[in-house]
Amino acid sequence: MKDLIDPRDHIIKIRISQIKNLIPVISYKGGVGKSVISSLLGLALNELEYKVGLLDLDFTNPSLHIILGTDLDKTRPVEEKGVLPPEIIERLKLMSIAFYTRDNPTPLRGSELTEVFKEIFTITIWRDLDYLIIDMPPTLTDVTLNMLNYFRKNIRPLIISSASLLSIKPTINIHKILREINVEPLGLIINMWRDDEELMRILKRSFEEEGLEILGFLSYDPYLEKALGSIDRLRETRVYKEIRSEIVNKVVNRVGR
Amino acid sequence: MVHEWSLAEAVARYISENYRDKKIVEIHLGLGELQNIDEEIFSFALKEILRSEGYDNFDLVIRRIPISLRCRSCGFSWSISKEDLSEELAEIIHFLPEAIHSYMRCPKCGSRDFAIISGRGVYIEKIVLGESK
Repeated sequence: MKDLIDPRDHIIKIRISQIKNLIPVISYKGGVGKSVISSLLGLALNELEYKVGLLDLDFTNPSLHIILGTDLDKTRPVEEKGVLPPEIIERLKLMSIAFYTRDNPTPLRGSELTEVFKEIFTITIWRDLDYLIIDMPPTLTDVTLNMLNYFRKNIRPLIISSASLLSIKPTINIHKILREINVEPLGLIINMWRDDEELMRILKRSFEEEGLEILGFLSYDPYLEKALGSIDRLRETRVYKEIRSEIVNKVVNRVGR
Repeated sequence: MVHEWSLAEAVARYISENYRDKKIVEIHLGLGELQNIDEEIFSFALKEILRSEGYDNFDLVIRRIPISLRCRSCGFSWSISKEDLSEELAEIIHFLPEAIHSYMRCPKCGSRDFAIISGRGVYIEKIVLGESK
């Protein structure tokens, strides 16, 4: 079969040219809270009156729409020389494969994940945004590698880790891979924190030695579950208040560096 | 204007990046049937964008590529045509062909793990150049 040229490769970077800051939220494994932190960081930046986009790239398990309570029957992207992501609240746009796959099971192989990655970036017209927060699938596989290949010069990843000794090595490995290709992360958030001075000391020392800055420890919040699906309730959670008071300003201050 | 525009823009971008100051005589494209791209709208958009970039008087040759699917679990091969899809599903796949895995399974064994062998996407097959502009 002769080589065919995929024109999407030539437009993808143009599509992000009006976005001031791209922040992929990445981690070494699932279940560490990337999607919740992506959503809450988006809401916190939105509260500071920035124009924010949230992009769910966890194609086989999208969840931003569930966290934010977006009704897939009522909210849809609009077609206009591409696809305009819906504004779920003022100055906050959401794009997700879930608008198309609904909540059906969607198993995808690596090559198919790459197709969806390219298609989403080709057709989505964000227009001007201050921040695009990108919820990434866990680990360093196809979608994350595509992100690094296409946008390494444009991104400042935020690394999320759970509060465990088991998180140290893989988190350092992610950091290493970013540094090897000259991608400077914004820093690390340790999520689901329960007070443990000994663990805090070990985590701080381990990441400090690697030059990975800890932006903050976010508390384990047993009330978060009850807030899922409601932006108003999410804003009342302890973890949101911690992001508002301790994380969001650090993100804003570091993106320019 | 519909989302065909964004795909036409991608083709135009490839051409302006790779054939600056060249006279283009023919553009040959493959359009997968699965995506159900409106050829008239797509051609109009592509010609408009390319005209604004200084490319004119070229022939646009479009080949429709039929849909071919193959199950990775049992090996069964099958084809569908757009008439087999409901209006809603056709629209969803129009935007995002891989969403087909959310709605379709292998007719023989029921697996969702099947490959789109052909019929997806927009591809540039050939550009024919003439004398310099």
